[in-house]
Amino acid sequence: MKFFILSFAAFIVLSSFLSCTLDPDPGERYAIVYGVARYIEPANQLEYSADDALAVGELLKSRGYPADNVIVRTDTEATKAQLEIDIDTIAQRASSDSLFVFYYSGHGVQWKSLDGTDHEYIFLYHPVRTLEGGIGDSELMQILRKIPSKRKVVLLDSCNSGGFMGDFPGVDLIPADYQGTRADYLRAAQKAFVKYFANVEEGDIPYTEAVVIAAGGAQELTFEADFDFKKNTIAHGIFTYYLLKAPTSADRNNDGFITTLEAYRYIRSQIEKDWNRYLSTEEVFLPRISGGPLDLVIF
Amino acid sequence: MHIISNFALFAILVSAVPAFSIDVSHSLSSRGTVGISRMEGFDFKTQGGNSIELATLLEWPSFAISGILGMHGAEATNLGGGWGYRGYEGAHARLQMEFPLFSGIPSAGGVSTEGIPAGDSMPEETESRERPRSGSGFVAGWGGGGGAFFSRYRETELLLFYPSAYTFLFFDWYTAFPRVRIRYTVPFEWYFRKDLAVSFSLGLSIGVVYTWTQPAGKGGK
Repeated sequence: MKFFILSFAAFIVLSSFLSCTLDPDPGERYAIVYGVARYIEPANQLEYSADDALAVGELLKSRGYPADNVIVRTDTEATKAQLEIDIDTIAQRASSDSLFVFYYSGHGVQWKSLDGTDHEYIFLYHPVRTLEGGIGDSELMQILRKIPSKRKVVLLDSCNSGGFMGDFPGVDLIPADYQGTRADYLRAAQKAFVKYFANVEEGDIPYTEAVVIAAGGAQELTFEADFDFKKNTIAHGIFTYYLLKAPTSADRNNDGFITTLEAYRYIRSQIEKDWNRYLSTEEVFLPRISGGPLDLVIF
Repeated sequence: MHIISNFALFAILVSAVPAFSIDVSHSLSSRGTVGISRMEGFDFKTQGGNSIELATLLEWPSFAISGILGMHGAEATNLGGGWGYRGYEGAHARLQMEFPLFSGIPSAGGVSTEGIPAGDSMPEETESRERPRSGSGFVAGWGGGGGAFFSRYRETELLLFYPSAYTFLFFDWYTAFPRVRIRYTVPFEWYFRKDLAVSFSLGLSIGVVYTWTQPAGKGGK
């Protein structure tokens, strides 16, 4: 009897030891940061997307990303052609052990194609027509695949951005058009069971390619704001505003590093607390994180 | 209404099973595990886990079948190298079979003592593969089965399903209370997760088993 009690206790101690924290420094890291506020058509212009990108670029540098490894483009510089050049530049320098972050702030949209499938787009600057600067979910995935890093993080502050993340293997309990309520657990469990035996659908950014954190669901609008409801200055996209605060406020285990899950959890809880309870059900939105077993230290 | 009818079914089952030499038992157990995970392209990492399980056992003298419902959780791994595997939690169900391999019955539990001279006792360990039906003693054996898991990554609302296969060694310690025994198990479980290339766990569990049917008296069976 004593033997079993002692071995049980030893086992629990051993388990704790095996899960103790080792050095979480993410090592060599690179980032491409794009923000477009000044689209060619006056009707499409945004207020703070370029500022978002500039602020995120500075944040990354202040958190240990070498200045040479952080490429920031805004407005007229942030074109599709330029993105491909920047991706190629990083692809030549990064290794499989590097951390790579792609950040985008600007317009996003969801369109239904003729076959009934939904496709999401982000819009980089185009000198003639904004629609020409669109990058679809599949296209962005192909572009990101050029980067050899195993650890990639994609941060999207745009409408409908949740549609960029692959919905495998996890079934999201938050509906794509979140209106304040979660999906039915039993129905989600049934969907998860069926999905286990289904083939993986290509098209969005799969969990094997990157951890994606999106400002809102595939069918949700996201916003930028001058002030919050308590009259605090925001002057950013709402998602980006909390992302910028994550290094000082999201470190749940106080290890000095912020992971994708810590950032996501913090941004989501702040949006629920400071925004969604003041907005109508049609206006609420909730950040999403892609499904997969990985959690990555981002800064 | 459902509860009443289910309870009635259970009562009928319990009252009927002695005729078939079946014991009906329930167990409540707690398990600690060390999980080993690896995603394609990444290294192995360990994560501590735990679960609590409620089982219904149908026990024949030489084998048993159990249905199990439980809740589980696993801590996130360390973040060494700037990455880790997410923690998760959820609910699971298992179906298993088990076989006693040997038993130690110091006071003739389950075996007639008639004909043994006073002062003598049964051997410390018998070759019996049957369970003692009363008194103290132990039974050790092995088993195996399959499970179905629904887990949610911690800090997210992402739910995933995966099946498992597992085997275990068990050690039942029969107490002075005829209906109660303490059960230790050493389970090894392989999870067929689509998000991980390799995922398995080793553990230890401790539980209490309560037998509803009236165990046979000394010399019975």
